Amino acid sequence: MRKFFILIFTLFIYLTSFSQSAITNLNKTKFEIGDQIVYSFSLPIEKSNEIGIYLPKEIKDSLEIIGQTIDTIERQGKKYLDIRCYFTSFVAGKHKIINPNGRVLDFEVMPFPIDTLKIEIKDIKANSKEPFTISEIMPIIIWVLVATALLIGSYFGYKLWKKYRKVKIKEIFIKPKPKLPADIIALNSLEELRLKRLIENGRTKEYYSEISEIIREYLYNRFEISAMEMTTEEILREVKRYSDINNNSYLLLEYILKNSDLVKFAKFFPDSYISDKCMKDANEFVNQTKLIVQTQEKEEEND
Amino acid sequence: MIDIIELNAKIERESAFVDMINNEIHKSIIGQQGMIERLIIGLLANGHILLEGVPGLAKTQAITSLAKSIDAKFSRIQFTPDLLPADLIGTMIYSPKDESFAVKKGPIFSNFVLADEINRAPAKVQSALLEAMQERQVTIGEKTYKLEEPFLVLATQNPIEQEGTYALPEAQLDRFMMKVVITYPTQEQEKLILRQQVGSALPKIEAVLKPESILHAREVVKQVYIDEKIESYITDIVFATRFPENNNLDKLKPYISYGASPRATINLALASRAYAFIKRRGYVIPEDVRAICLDVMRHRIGLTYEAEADNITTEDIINDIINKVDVP
Repeated sequence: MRKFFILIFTLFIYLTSFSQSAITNLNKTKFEIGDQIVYSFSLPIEKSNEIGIYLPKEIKDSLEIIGQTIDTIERQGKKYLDIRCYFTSFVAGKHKIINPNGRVLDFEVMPFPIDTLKIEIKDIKANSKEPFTISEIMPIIIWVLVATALLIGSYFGYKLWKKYRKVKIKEIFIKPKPKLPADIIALNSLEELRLKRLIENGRTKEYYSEISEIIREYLYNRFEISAMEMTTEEILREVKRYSDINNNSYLLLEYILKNSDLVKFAKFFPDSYISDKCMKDANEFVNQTKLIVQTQEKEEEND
Repeated sequence: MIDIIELNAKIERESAFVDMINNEIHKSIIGQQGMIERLIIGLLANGHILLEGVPGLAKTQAITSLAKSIDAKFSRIQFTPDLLPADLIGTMIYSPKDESFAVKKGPIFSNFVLADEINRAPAKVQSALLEAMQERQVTIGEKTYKLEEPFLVLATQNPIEQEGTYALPEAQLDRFMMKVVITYPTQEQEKLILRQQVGSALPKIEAVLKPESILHAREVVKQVYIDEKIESYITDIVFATRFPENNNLDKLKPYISYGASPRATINLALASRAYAFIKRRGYVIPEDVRAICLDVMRHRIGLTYEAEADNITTEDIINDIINKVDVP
C-alpha cells in the first residue's frame, strides 16, 4: 500500500506542472484479482519535453505495473503524448488513484469466487519410497553383532566359572593341616635350641636372642600379644592384663627377657647356671601358661 | 672388652646428679617429668631442644629452673619481629675516648640460652642463632669467638597465634636434637600447682652442679654401650621413614614427602645413650630408643598435602613405624 502511494506521489510530482492539460482515465473500476486495468493519460507534447516522463515498472503491494506504452497522438491538430499503464492487483478491496489534477479514480479489486462444493477433493499423494542402503541398516547390523558376541562371551564365561568353581570346591574339601598349639611349637623350638648347643660353642648372644624370640612368638600365638614389635617393658606391662599369667609365671618371663636383654644389648656373659636356668624357666613358663582344653569325656569322667 | 657390671656401677655413681637437678627443678615445676627428662638429655647429649606447647605450660619456667640449678651463665632472649642479629650475637661499638671499636658481646655468650618464642623473630635472627648453635662459635667484626661449653640453646614456640610469626625452616629445625611437645598437666598435678602458686613463696632453686660436672657427665655418657642390634634398630626406624613400603607400611608412603635425615640417626643414638644414662644403665635397650623416638623424629619428617588433608601428623607416622619395626 505504501508503495502504491509512492507511485501516486511520483506521478503527482511529475505531473503537477501540466495538470491542467493532462487527461486521465481508467478503463475499468471493478476487476477480479489478477485481471488487468489500463490507466491512460495524455499531455501536450511540448510539456513532455519540459518534464521527463518516468513511470516505475512494478508495484508489489496492491497494484503491479505489468507494462506501459508511450505514444504520440494527434488530436484536433495538437500533438499529445499518450501514456498507457497496464496494472493488475492481487489484493482484494477498494483502492484509489489520485490524479495529478486532483481527481480521484476509484476502483475495486474483487476476490475470485470459489465454489468449494463443486470442487472434487482428492487424497494427498503419498510419499515416494526410496530403496534401503547399507548405511541405513548398519546400526541394526552392529547391534546384532554385539548381541551375538555377548551371548558367545556369556557362554564361555559360564564355562570358565563352572571350571573355576569346581577347583574351589575341591580346595574347600582339602583337609587343612592342623595347626600345632602354641605351647607345642614353643616347646619344640626350645628343644631344638637346646640341641644346637650354642652356649657350649660360645654363641651366647645367639642363644639368648633365640630364647627371647621363641618366648615372644609363643606370647603372640598363645595370647595374641604382638610381642615381636614390643620391648621387654612393654611386654611385661601387657602380660599383667592376662589372668592366665600368674605372678610366678610373670617372674619367670621377667627373668628370661631381662637376662636376654642384658646379653643382647649389654655384652653380658652369663655363667652356665643362668643360661640353663633361662632354658628351664622358658619351658616352665610355657607349661604354666599353655592353653588347657578339657574334652567332654574328661569332664564326664570328672563328674 | 666392656665390663658391663663395672660400667653399670660407674653410671650409677655418675648419674646421681640427675636426681639432684630433678629435685631442684621440681621445686618450681609440678609434673612435666617428660619435659624435664628431655632437657637433661639435651644437656647430656649436647643437643639443643625446642619446646612447643600452648602458653602457660611452664616451658620458660622449666628452662630457667634448669639453668638456675646449674651454676652457669644463663640468658634469656625474648624473640620479637624487630630483633636484629646484632642484638643476639653482639656488635662492634665505637669508643670516642679510645678512637677504636670495642666488641660488645651479645646474650648468646652464655652456657644456657633461652630463645623464647623463637618463631617470632625474622629469618635472619633465626639464622644467626641456628648458625651459632651449629658452629658453636660467633664472628663479630673480623674476630671469631668460641662459645663457652656447655652451650645449650633451649628454644620455645607455641603452636597457636601463628599470625606474624616466622616458621622455622625444616633445615633449621633439623639442628634441634629434640622437639618436645608439652601437654597439659593432669587434674591432680594442676591442683598441686594451684596450691604451690597460691600458697607461700616458692622455694629458691639452688645451684647444685658446676658446668664442669656437665662436661664430665657427657664424657661418661659417651661410654654408654650401644649394641649393634640397637644400631640396626635405630637405622631400621629411620629407614622406615624413608621407605615405609619395606616395612609393610605402604599406607604411609603417600603421607611422607621426605624421611628423617642421617642427623636423625645420630641424634637418636645420642639421645638414647643419654636416656639410658639418666635411667642409670650402662647400655642402651630398645625401650630407650622408643622413649625418645618421637621427640627426636617429629620435626624431621615432611608431610604431604594428603597427610594434612587426612589429619595425619608426624607423631601418627612415627607411632605406626615403631609399632611395626621388629624390636631386637
